[in-house]
Amino acid sequence: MFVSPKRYDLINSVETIKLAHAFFSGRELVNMYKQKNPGKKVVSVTLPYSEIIVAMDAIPLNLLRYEEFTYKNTHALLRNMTNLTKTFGWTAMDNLMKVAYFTRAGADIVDIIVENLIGALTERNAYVTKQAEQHGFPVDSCFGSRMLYGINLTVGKIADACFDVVYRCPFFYKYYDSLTPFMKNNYILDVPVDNGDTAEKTLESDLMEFISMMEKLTGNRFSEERLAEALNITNELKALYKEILFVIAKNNVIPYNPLTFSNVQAVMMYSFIDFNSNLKAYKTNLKNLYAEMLKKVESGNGFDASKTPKVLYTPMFTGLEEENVKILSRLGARVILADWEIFGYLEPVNTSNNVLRNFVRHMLKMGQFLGPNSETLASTMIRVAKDLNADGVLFQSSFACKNIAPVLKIFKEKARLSGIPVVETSFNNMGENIEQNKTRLEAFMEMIKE
Amino acid sequence: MESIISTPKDEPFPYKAYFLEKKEDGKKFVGLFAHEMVPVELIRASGVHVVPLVFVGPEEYSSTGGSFITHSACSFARNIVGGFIHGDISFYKYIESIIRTNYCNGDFIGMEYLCREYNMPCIDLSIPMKTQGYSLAFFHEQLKRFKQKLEDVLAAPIDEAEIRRQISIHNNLRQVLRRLLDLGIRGAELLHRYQEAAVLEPAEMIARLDCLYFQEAAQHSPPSSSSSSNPRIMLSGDPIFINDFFGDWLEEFGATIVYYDTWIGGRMAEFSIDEVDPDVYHALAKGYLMEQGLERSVPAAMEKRIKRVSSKVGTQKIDGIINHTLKFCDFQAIGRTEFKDRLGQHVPVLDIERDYAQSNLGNIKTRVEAFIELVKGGA
Repeated sequence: MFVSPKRYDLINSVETIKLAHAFFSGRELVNMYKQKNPGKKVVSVTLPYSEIIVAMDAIPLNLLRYEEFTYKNTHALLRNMTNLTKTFGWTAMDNLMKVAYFTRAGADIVDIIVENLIGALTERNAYVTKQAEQHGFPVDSCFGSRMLYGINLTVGKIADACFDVVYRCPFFYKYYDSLTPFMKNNYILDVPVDNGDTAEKTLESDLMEFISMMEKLTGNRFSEERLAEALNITNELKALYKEILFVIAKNNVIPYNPLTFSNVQAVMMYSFIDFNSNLKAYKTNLKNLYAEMLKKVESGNGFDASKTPKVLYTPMFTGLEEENVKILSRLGARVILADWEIFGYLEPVNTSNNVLRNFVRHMLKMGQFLGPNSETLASTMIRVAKDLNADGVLFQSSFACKNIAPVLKIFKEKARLSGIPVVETSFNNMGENIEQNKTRLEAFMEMIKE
Repeated sequence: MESIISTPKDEPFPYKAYFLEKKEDGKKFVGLFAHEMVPVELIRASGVHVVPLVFVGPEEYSSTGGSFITHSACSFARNIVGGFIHGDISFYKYIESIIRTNYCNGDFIGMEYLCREYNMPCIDLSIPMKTQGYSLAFFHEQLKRFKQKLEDVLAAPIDEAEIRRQISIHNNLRQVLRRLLDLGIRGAELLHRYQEAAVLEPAEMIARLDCLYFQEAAQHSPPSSSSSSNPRIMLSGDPIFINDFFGDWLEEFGATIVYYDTWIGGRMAEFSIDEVDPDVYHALAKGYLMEQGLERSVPAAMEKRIKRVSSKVGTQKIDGIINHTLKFCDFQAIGRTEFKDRLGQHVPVLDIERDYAQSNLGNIKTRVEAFIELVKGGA
């Protein structure tokens, strides 16, 4: 059974569009912040530890957001949205969309927002990986490293510093190190593959070295109060994120059609890396987004997903294959993206007493899930799949990933014992192997439905 | 053992017989994934036999290994895992536990699989990626814990005096290995000595080198590969492991390596452990992290490598460099272009990426021969 996406899903969805707009307008927003306060420093981040950047009063930036999304004129649409909302506010945007929906042009706008933003992301990913390869970055390295290298090449100049955090993959240390010739203040944090007091002290010293670099760069003194303030906000956001995953996404009625909901989850996940470069605005946005989702469900304006099997798609932080999500949605599944939960990032950080040490512990804790133990990672994936009542798991391998991809074998064994169906798809570059993936996903969905 | 140790230098070393004899001692065998950052002194102080996993086999092994740890894991790690599974390397079956580190993906993923598949204990050691003071302190602490884990798994106490004795004898071996270059040993012969040094216990290896090169009788026979007319080539990057024909091929293709800038090579001998440091764990941590493992460390790993290789080009009077990369190696894959571009300004560099397949032999041969011609022209 094929389920058609409902375009009107984004009507009464101001906060959803706001989140997507802020994510895809990174260039515009960061330039605006820099214009307002030219002394503010921009720090490139790739994993969700931006609280420390916020605490230094700098701007965290997932560099992907600084790309210009020219695909199907997405950038022009985003700029028009900025101009409109600057003058008339976001309610005007919502009203306009409601009116426009009944016109051909309006329908197109909705169409672009729903489907093309993620498409624009995919298109940009393809462009930057090509840039990386042309610059001599190994063509047979994983998609994630080629994509990130390419982004640093194309828009890295905006960053005054980089905060590189690596888990599990020694190759990624080398990737980050390869940025040093052209990225300013490229700081690589070495998260010990261990826990306990020595590991904490080591990571704290490392983090203090980064903080000291940031103090010189920004002219601001680090304070635990500011870090606690940022962490208090993100603790709240993490709780909301968990609610969205474990309450809203599990529900029989979901706030959008399955494809749109997956896309919203993708934007949520990627935007958690840098909080769309503005933590306070992000907090308001996410809280309202949660309320908006609840309202849709409670008011009966949601999507009846009672007969829509839940598929956990993981890992996706190394690259989301948009086509897989579309195929699964067409086949009647709803895709749930829960990497931050699997890796332990959504656990709150204690903000009393020694806040920096608590933050360090949090970072080390993530290492337990994303650490060198494939067994633990596989078990955590199973735990999350069970907690989500997932009907199956799509394990997304990236060709040349020699780190997370090998978990698959162990994961499959554990999933079999737990009675969870698993399908694996793989890509080297996004958009490849689509037909093959489609066949696999069709067989997988048939199995689930049986 | 004496007849094994004195195997003539031009004959393949009988590793199988060597380990068989070791097995008869009744001591435990500990497997160690091949790399340069685990202090073997500490393991040997526990009285076990260390089996470095440095024995490679045909491409078929890599394919088998790939089905366990993915086909994009490094060729070497896949080959080692596949070798275990095929069971052809007879002495692997004596291994009762395995050391696993986070040195590279091949190590911790590959060893995790082996331990899991063969139900063997994994003895973990975490190695920092940096060389800051706090990294050294962490590694120092890790080595103490590693010693504890060894004692627990192997059920044998490790005596500090024995660690010191092992440090001393390993330092002696390094010193003797350094002398090989002065003797003009080169090419496959030099490689085979380094490979043996990676496997044999240090006292045995010292005895072997003594027998082959330093005893009075041996000094009368000149090294078999000491021709001075060939260009002086350095092999840098990934090591050539035991049973890999690449070393012999290079010689057949006309490339005589005078310096192996690899950890199964000259780099084995270029550091030593401080014997007067009152804290043995500190001495080991310092030697292995700050000296031996420098090029794994970030930031500026490539800078450190280029600096050292440049210096070797001068001291070893190198005419050309072969930069050797095993496919999908974590550390060699990135920076090949930079290495060639930067060092190529001073000395010709040939970049070779390969796996254990013999199918690309013709292509490598053509490239090596052309490179040697180029170097000869410029030398």
